[in-house]
Amino acid sequence: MKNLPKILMTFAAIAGIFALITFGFVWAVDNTQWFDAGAEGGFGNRERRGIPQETGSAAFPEGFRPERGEHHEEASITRGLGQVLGNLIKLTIIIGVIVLLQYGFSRLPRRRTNIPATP
Amino acid sequence: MNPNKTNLIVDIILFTAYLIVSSPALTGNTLHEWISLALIATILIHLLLHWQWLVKITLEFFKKMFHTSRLNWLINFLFFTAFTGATVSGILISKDVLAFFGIQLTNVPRTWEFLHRQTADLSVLLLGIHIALHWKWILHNLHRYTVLPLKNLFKRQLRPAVQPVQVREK
Repeated sequence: MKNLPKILMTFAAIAGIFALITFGFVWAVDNTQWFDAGAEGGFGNRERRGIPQETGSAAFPEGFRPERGEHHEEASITRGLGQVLGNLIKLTIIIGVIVLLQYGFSRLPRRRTNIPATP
Repeated sequence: MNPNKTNLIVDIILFTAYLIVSSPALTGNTLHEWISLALIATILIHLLLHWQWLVKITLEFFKKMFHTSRLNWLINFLFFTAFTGATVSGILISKDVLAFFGIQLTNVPRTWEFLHRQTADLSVLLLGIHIALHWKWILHNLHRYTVLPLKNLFKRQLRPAVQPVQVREK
């Protein structure tokens, strides 16, 4: 209970930083076109790939057109475990590279500091 | 409880929750949204546990620029920014959590959906760097709080039990 004001202040500080970053994102989406190209063009938009076009012979039958991203809403153990494994592999590679780099840097000879003064 | 032990437990919970949340196909959308909310609460606890370090490094940031703790701080800041982006965009495109609270957002631009994926992918990358920078601490404490107690448990079991011996008097 003694620490409660301190904890509340910390929460307020975190909320403040969160609000600032959120404001930045909202501002960027509303006032810039930084993310528009990706959202419209399909860059990084994995869910939209493979969805048949809305009209023509390849269109969805009436009543079967999924809402955006709907085909990812149902759980699938196989696909889910695939995603988990993919993320674990990504993390392992990143961690491995950085830990190896750190090890390499730690093996570098340190600069000598006890240089004798010239007579 | 030992602060290192508390940190380790919170971190293991965070890491597991993060893996689950970053694989929405595993849980389906509804659970993905609710677990994400729980993850936000756990991240708040994580930040609270490391708040003193954060304040200290923030205040000293420009005194000695090229130092491991500055790199750590920078990675943590980028990670928090990416996570905030994923959280905000996730809330805006949410279907179940907002509906549960009776909120319905209309005309949310597709940009938020795109932003959600990009910031989530970036978060995984930054999480990897964050873990790598704390790798020694993680290995040390995992060994101390999981491997050593298990080892001791087996050692105790292998030791012959002491049995009472009756000594007869002559």
